[in-house]
Amino acid sequence: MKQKKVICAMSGGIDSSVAAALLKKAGFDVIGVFIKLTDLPRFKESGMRAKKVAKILGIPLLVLDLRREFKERVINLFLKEYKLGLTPNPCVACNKEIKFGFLLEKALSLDTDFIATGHYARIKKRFVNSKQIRYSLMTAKDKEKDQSYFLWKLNQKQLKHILFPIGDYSKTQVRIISRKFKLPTFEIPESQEVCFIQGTINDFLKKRLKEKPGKIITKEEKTVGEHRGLWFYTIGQRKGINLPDGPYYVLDKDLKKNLLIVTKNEKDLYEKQLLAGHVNWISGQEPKFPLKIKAKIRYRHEPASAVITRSLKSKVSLRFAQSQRAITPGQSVVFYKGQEVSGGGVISESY
Amino acid sequence: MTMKNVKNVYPPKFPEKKFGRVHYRQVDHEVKNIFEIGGVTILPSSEAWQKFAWTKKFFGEKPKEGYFIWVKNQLDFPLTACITIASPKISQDLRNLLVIEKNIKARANVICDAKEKFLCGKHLARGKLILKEGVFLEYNHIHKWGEKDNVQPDYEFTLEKGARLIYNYRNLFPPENLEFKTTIHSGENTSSNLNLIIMGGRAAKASRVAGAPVLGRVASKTKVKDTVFLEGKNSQTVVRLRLVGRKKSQIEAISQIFATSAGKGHLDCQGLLVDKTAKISLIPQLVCQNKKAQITHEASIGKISEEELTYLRMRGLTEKEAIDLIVSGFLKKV
Repeated sequence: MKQKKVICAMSGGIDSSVAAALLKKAGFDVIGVFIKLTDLPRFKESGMRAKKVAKILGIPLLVLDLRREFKERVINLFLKEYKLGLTPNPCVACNKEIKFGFLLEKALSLDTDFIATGHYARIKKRFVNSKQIRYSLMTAKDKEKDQSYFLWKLNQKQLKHILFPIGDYSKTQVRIISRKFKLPTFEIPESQEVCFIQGTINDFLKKRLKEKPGKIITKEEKTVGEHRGLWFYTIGQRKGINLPDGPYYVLDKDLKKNLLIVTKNEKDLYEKQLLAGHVNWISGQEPKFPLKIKAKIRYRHEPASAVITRSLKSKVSLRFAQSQRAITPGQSVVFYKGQEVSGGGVISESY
Repeated sequence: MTMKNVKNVYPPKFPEKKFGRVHYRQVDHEVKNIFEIGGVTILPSSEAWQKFAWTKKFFGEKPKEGYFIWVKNQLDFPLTACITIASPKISQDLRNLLVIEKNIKARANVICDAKEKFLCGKHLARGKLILKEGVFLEYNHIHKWGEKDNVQPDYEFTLEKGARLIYNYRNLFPPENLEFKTTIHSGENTSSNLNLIIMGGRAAKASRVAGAPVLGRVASKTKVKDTVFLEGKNSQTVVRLRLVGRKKSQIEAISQIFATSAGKGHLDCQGLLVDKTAKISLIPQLVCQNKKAQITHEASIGKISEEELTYLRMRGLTEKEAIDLIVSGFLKKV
């Protein structure tokens, strides 16, 4: 049998290094690819580490410069959405556009069978009937590390060519495997912040979007203070509002009037319904509505029971069984059926 | 693998009728029902002992329980017998006798099981199966036991001139203690195919990290001894033994062929260790007393390939699903 070729995206971190090691072990012809996304010093270090890992595993490492594409499609979108008063998920955009967009395209043009990443998620192949195959995106075995939330934009065509080698391993097992392969990466602390920002997100926004002060008002339209620009705040936020006799929570933003609406009562943050746009169904087929699912409205959110009812053409309306705290426009809402990700969308409003 | 000089026995075609009716059913010590059919005598062994004097030489001593099946006419459906343990601490002592008259083609499905996991039952079964001249028999023997049972089947097949036997034994739910013994006496121009699948231990839990220490005692002990005597000229046999050692299991197997005449035989014994706590010992033994006999063997014990496991997990299967798939692939080769 011909050895299958796979391109493995390597960031120099432990997860993608172990992914490459497992691919090698499973008998694939592995080519490592390091994607250069920005000029930050952090990327230089990661590149060096990826090179080291590739050398240990005895696989070639290519460097793919996607700085321009990343800037155009991820960073600019990120800033644009912040400007619109939203709280975006840049990782969702990066997965769709860069890793499973440009990289996959590149891989297929190089006559490879698969691309692999170090995401904690699983893909299951199922036969719908004797001819038709369906790929399902599943949550990872390690519930703590599960990253299926960021992958809801994938489609059948992409899933067909993707491997997630570490999806069925826990983080602890990944560390053990890393040691087994003598990879140099297991001492690095976990990276969880936005990769293209050095320092805090507020500093980054301050530099790029500048400040745009406005009034802070309460629900009852009483002015209580002044804000520095709506993009520095996100729904549900408590810290950093800097108001006396707090604590206050960010309840809403009025973009037209440049108003930040706050509340003292945390219960005001709880809402039952939301409207989501840019909806993607991973199976490629729209299900029948109403559809009972579990929905996650941010990465660290326990999936909650909800029902989706069709509303407008590319939008769906979703009603939770119980009110959820801080449903934030711009964030992704991801639909789960058991362990399977059925799809997702971008929250446009809550009510 | 099949050996070139050993012919495989192809079963004659039966009309496709599935299990359907149970012809002999025993629960604990009680015979629940006997379904009479024309051309076949079905009785509890103790009654057969009294009714037919000729059975005494096969039974040896008066049997307490068990079945007696005497096939006198050609049948177009399989015979089915079920023997179940349904109450706690039952100790069955069965003497079974199956006699098939000349030139009959038959199929028998025999299922022995325990209704629940922890009945602590004992199933002692001594059986004799007599295949008269020109008989063909496909004997499907299925065992399904609880985790605390003690099971000792001891079957002896006698193949008269020109008889053919396919014996399929499957034990996917092993008891705590299994002593499996089979003996085949092959007469002139006979052929036998033995396909024995025996699992040991319990299915591993998916969450268990490979390499984690497992404490506690052995969950299942299995002893297998299959012996084929090639006693008649041109008698042939192929024995395929597949052993799967799962969590906390110990399997000891001896597979033998004794050739006293110019027969051909082949042993194909393979073990698969699924869990680190499993142990398999496998002895293929060939004894040749006739210079014209051709007997061969192959034996191997392996573990689940890490590469295969990693690959399957990469393709979205959980560790348990991946192991199950590899094991079923291993067993499919039979």
